[in-house]
Amino acid sequence: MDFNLTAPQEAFQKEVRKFAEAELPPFVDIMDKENRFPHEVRPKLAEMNLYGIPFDPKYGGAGADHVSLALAQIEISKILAPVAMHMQLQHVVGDRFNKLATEEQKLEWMPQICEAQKVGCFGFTEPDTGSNPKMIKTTAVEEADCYVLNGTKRFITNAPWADVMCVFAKLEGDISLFFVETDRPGFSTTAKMEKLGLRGTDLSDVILEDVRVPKDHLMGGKGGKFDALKDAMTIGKLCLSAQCVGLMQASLEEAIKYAMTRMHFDEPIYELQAIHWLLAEMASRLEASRWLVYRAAFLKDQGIDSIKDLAITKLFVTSTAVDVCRWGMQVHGAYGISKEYKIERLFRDAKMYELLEGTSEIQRELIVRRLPR
Amino acid sequence: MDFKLTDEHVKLRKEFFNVCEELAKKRPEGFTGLEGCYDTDEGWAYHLDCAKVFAKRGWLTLGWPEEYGGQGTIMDKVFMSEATGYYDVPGVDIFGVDMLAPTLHATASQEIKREFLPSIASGERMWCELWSEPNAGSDLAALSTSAVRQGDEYVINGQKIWSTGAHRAHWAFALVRTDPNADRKQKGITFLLFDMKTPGVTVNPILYMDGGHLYNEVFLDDVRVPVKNVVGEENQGWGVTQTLAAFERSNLGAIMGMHRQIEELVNYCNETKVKGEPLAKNPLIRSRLAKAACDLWAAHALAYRIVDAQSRNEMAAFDASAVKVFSGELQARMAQLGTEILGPYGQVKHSRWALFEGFFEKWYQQSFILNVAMGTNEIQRNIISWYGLGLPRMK
Repeated sequence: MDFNLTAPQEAFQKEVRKFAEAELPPFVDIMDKENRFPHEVRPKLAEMNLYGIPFDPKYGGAGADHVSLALAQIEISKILAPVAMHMQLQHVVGDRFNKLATEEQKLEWMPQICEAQKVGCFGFTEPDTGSNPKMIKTTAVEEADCYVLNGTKRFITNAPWADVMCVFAKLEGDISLFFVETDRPGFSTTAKMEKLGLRGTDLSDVILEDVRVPKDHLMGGKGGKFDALKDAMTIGKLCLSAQCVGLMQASLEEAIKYAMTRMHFDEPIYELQAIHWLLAEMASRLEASRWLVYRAAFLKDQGIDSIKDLAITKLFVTSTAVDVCRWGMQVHGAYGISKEYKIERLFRDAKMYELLEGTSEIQRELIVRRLPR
Repeated sequence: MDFKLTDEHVKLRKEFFNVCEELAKKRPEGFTGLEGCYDTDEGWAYHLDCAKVFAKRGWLTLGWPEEYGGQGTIMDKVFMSEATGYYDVPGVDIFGVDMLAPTLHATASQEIKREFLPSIASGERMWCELWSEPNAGSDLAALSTSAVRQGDEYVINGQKIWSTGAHRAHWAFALVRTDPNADRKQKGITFLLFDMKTPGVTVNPILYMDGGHLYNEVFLDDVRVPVKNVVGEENQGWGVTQTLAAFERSNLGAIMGMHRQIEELVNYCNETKVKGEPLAKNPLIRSRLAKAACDLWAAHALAYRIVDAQSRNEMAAFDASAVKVFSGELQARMAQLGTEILGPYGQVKHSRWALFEGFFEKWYQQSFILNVAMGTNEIQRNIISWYGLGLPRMK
């Protein structure tokens, strides 16, 4: 057992930290206040090879591991979590191509995804499905030279301006997976949603009306793609759990900074025991969460089935992030609710993670079904 | 001990609820809580309209002495808070009706009472509180806004912060330092009233995390206020603030709002199916709703106990702290529960995708404020430990 990061992981972490601290602050207000995605960030992230961290360099990836992916997500989220969420979607979509596309398709699509020339989105959730794949209503019908897709997908991140979408649909009664270019006739999106946190990661419904895709757009053959969904969600859960760690780290740093400068009864509130306890709780929960995320990433790198471990990680880390960011606000007192302090954005962003990639209830189900009996 | 309401109370309570139910039908879309009153022109107009309705029925003077148009008791006022809280109906100016009026009754001269109470009773003049300063929050006595007497006027200079609704209010009650050389910082403070349109008053918004305009910072530059507007005596303002203990502290309005939210969530869970089954049959959700209901009824019982103690002038200093901590933290948990039950829809702002007009997304953010406003919960716990449990005093 060795809890140290490897030299390359540590160097990568430092490099991403430096990049995030230097490049991302100007985008904070654009994303959070204007609720707009700053596309000028894409080439910067691509230059750092942050869109395809664990993918093979021959497909444009960085050839690193999932621990490195988690480290990058933490560092980016410390400054601006919705950018990390945008990166997450590129990884989820890239990973589907990596595992299910033909060699020719991989060589065509993955470099474009890793360089952010193409942006991907992931279409599973529907108005009536929530987290239950059996309830999918989007259909695919086979015709002589194509598949015809019909349905509505909901809460689709990146959808308003994505170039390609991975779409889960029912084909001959079973779940299949397709990739769909978003400029195909019949593909449309609704207005983007206004939401509590992670603003700037544009979210909308996607409407598929008789969208025709070539037969080679069926990924990994007909049917049986519930496993592909669960596998894709392990990447999603790893990334968003890492994002929560970034938010908690930022909250702790902001709380300490505020407590050191806020005077109360002629001394900084950092000297008050009530504040000590909040900061100590925040630090403890942050460290526990960090190691859960590292462990989940490590298991994924080892090729060990990590659905249960990622569900445990997601369940613990997302609810912990809500607590830690709330305590960070509490340290700020009334100033915490003001838009002039960073902590209120962290508080709003943290809440989003409990509600995405399967609710906490679904995580509990995934865990219990995999416990030793 | 008797938890039962009298027939007269039941009848009056029903009347409050009936009127508020009707007023709720006129509520502007997206109106939520205190922020709803101050954030938009529509919300402010609705607040004033409701105030007129209540004033016409004499409901803004519940518990006042009869000579100033008062009627009823503090218990009647509590029932009204329950009704306005349940239906999220504004109209009762928390600063004018709930805070300033009882203070004036207890401490002000006849002239002041005659001048200022009628416009509170009629709901025509709305107030704001100018107390906190950038370096005087929980340690309020550290305030430094100065008032220098020049003839029949004070000239005021300084900055106030966290002034709820100051951008809408007509008048303000303020704490200012009139004797900077007093031997204790609690001495040398004066409580006075002035028109927010007085030259030298500048109000800047502090936007809440949800973007709403509820709070302000207020700059006072050579603001001239007549000496006759002092409440109580010059330099005795700290004592005047202590009479705010008469302010109704049960938090029953917020508690009744939570009852309403539980009902809404229960209806949603009965009507919404997941995997073909109503959410209401999900054991986890049932358990969490049941736990929330238990907590809520505990808060309700605690609130009634506070009202009872207050009506008999037997309320201990830490009672208000206890109910504030308990119901404030419960409100944050309830908002959390609501967003979790609604799932991804719980984070969508007001739009065609949002459930309950985006109420829970907004409430999740607004519910936090009770834990830091009017003394953070850390301060409240210190008060409970010190006064209530007899533990040594600490900062």
